[in-house]
Amino acid sequence: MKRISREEISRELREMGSHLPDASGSPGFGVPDGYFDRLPSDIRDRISAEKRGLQSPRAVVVRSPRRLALAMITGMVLLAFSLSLFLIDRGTDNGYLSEADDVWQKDYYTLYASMDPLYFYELILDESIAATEPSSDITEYDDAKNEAILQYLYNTSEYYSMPLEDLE
Amino acid sequence: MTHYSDEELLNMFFQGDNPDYAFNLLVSKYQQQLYWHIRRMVISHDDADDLVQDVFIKIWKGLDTFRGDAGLYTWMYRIATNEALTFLKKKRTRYFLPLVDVEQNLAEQLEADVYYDGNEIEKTIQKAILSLPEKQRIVFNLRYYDQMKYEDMAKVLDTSEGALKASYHHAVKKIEKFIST
Repeated sequence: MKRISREEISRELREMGSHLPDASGSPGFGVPDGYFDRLPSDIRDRISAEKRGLQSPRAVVVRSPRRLALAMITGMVLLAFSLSLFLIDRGTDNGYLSEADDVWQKDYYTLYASMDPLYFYELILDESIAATEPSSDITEYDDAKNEAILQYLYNTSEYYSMPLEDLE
Repeated sequence: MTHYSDEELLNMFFQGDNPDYAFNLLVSKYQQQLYWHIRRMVISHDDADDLVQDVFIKIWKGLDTFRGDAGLYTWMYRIATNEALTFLKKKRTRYFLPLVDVEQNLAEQLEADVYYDGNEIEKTIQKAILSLPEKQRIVFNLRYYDQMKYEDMAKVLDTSEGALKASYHHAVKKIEKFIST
């Protein structure tokens, strides 16, 4: 690699009318002591690890402590988040009710399937309602109806002092 | 230590008895140049240390397919530049930072870095450089600090020499303006 000279850089800057100071290298930046002495062996270790198909222990433990910490924190946050979602779902009324509803409906249909439908019908009806239900015997029902009409006519004839036959 | 040319190192690597030794020589020859190139891009020593090792691993893996039509050193600079740019891109997406905030973040790192002790003028120049767009920053650094020829820069950045000269000119003007305000 052939670099151009510092003088050429300065000349170019002057031609642009720039007053930037002359600077080569990386002024102000530093590295730990002996860093460039160690770097080739660090790279060699990593290449050896690559050859063995393993990742360098240094790469895992030392090179990425921040990444390791970040991964752990992310994992914990995700775990806490999913746990909280689970608990919220279990703890709400909706959660419990929906589960209770499921059980109730299951029992209901199980019972329904095992019973005589008519008996089941009587079970779930109020007694009062059941009592007013019409009889299944249509003749008996008609007789009762006629009897009531006759009673009404009888009472009316008495009230108006009229013979029953006239009212009929 | 004997200084070998790139050609000699490549011959040793491909035809010699000890390619590991040849590669070790290559690392020793270029480690500082590539490290400083990356360091000026990412600012933090720890990040630069990670990246320069990754770059040499990639070079080692890629040497078998290196065809030699590009110069070895421009090829290595190209890998280093791409690694640094990818790192900055990842940093931006990882922390959901817009471009301006990444530059701000780098300037803050400069202040906090224990391995940076530049004087006020050097700090101001560094902050001015960090205010440049990414590609312009690379062009400025390669020319001003690495004293690289436009011809070589064109190979590293895959851009025409004319565009690079214009980019360098703009960068210098912006830095001057930053310093004067």
